[in-house]
Amino acid sequence: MTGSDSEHVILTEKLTKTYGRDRGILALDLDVHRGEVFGFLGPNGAGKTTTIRTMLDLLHPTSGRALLFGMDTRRDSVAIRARLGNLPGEFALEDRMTGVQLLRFFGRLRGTTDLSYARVLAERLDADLTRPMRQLSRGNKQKIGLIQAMFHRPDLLILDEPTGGLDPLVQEEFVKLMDEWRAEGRTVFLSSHVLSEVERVCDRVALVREGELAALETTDSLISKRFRRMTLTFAQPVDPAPFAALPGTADVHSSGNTVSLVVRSGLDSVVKLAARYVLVDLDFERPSLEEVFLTYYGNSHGDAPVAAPAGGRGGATPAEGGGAR
Amino acid sequence: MSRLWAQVRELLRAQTRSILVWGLSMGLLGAMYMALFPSMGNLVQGYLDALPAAYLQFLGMQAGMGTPQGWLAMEMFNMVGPIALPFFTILLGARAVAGAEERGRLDVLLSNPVPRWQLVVSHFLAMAAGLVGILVLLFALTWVTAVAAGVKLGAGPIAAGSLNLLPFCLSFGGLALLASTLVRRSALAVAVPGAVLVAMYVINGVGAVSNTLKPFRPISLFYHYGSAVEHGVPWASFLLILAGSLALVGLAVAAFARRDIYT
Repeated sequence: MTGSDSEHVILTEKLTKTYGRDRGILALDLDVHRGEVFGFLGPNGAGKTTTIRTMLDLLHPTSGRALLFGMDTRRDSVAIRARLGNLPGEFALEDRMTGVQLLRFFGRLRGTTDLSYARVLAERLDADLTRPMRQLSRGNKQKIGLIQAMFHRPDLLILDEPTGGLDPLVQEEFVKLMDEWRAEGRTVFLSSHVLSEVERVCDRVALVREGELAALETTDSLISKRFRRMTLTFAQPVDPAPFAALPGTADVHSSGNTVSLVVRSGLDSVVKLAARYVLVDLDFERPSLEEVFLTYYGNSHGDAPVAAPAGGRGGATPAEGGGAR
Repeated sequence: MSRLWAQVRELLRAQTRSILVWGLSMGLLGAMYMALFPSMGNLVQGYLDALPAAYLQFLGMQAGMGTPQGWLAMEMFNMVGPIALPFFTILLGARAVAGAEERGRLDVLLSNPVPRWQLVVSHFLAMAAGLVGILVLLFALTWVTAVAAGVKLGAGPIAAGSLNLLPFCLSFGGLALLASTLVRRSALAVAVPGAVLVAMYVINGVGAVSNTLKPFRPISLFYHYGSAVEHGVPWASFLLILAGSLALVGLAVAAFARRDIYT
C-alpha cells in the first residue's frame, strides 16, 4: 500500500442505487478504514450485493457516490480494480479452464506472472488448481473464487458471502487468513447474512436492512448485545417466577417440565438458580440475524416500502417517500 | 495493451475448437464442390439451362454459369458462405456480453482492472482472427482440391471469394455485439442479426427479379457483397462494409459503457 493514500479505503456518500420497485440501496454512508476487517451484515435482499457491485462499477449509482482509495468508482474504476480483489456472491468461471489457467489469465490482466501465493492459498484451503471448473463442486469452486480474489495480495479484499459451501475446517483456515491480512494492514470488506461469521473476523460491523444502514457497531459492542434463548428441562415442573425475577432475563415461559427464557446478561445467576433443581436438559439457541434486528434496531422500517429518491429511476414512487425519512 | 492481448489470446484459446470445426466444414464443402466440378460441370450447365431465367437471377447467377467460377459462386461464395458463416461471428458476438452476463461470468472478469471497452474490442478482435483462420482453411482446402481435380481455376478467384467474406461476416458479428450489449438475452442477440441476414438475402434476391423491390436492393449487404470469385473483390464495398463493422463495434462500446451489468 502506498503512503499517500487516505485512510478511508471505502467512503460512500449518500450512495443510492434503485432498480425495480423496491430493490437497491438508499443514501448509504459508509467509511471503511485502512487495515480493518469490516463486516457488512444484513438479511438476504438487504442491498449488500448491490452496494458491492456499485463499488465495482458494475452498477452505476442512481445518486450519491462511492470513493475507493479516494478515487471515484465511476471515473477511476480500472485504477481502483487494480488494487482490489473481489469474490462475488454469485459467479461462474469458464468451464473448461483449470484453476491454474484461470489464475494465469487473471495474473496477466493484473500484470503479474507470480502464482506462488496462489499455490500457498490452494494448499491451505485444500483447493485443486489442476481440474477444470466444470468438474468442481460448489465448495471447491468457491475456493477458486477466494484464491482469484486474494492471490495478487490486493490492498482491499471484497468478499460477498465468502464461506458459503466451505466445510468447517476450511472456514477455520479462512478466519486465520483474515487475521493475517489484518496484521499486514490490508483492508477487508466482508458481506454476510451470518452473524457468527461476521463476529469472528470483523472489527466493525455495519448492519443493513432494506437498503439502508440500520446500525454501525464495533464487533465487541455487537457481541455485548448478544442474547441467547435458553430452554431448561427439569425432572419435574418448576416455578418460572424466580427466573423472571433475575436481572437480564426476559420472555420467560414454562410448560410442563420446561422453562424457556431469553438471557441477555447474568448467565451465572440463571445457571445457579437452575442448579437448585434436577436439570435434565439444557438448550442454547443463538438468535438469528432477524431477531437481533427486531430486538435492537426495532421494526420501524419493517413495513414501509423502500422508496426511490426524488428524480431516481424508480419514478413511480412519490418524492415525499424519500424525504419522509 | 498487454491486457487487451491477454484477453484476445484467452478468447482464441476458447474458440480454437469452434474455429477448426467451422474452417474444416467450410473448407471440405469447398473441396467437395471442386472435386465434383469435372464430372458435374456439363451436367450443371444443362441443369442451369433448364431453370427459369428469373430463378437464376434470384440466385445471383449471371454469366458463365457452367464455369468453375460460376459454379463455386453459386454453391459456395454466394450461397453457403454468406448465409452460414455469419453465424460464426453472430454467435460469438451474442455470447460476448449478453451470454457472459446470463452465465454470471462478467462479475469475476470485471473485478480485474479491465476497462469495459476492452471487453467488447477483445471479443471483436478474437472474432476477426478466428474468421481469418476459417477463411484460410476454406481457401486452402478448396484450392488444393481444385488443383488436384484438374479444375481450371487459379488461386486468385478463390482467394478473392474467401477474402470478400471477411467484412461481410464481421458486420453481422458487429451487429450481434451491439445487440448483445443492448439486450439482456443472448438468444435475442442471435435472433436480431440472424433475422437481418435472412431479410437482406431475400430483399436482394427478390429485388433482382422484381421491379417493385429493386430500389430496395442497396439496403441489402448481399447487393454490395457482389460475387468476388467471378468479378474480383469489390474494394469500395469491401472497405465500406469493414468501416460499418467497426462503427457497430464503436456503438457497442458506447452502449456497454453506459449500462449496468446484471447478475
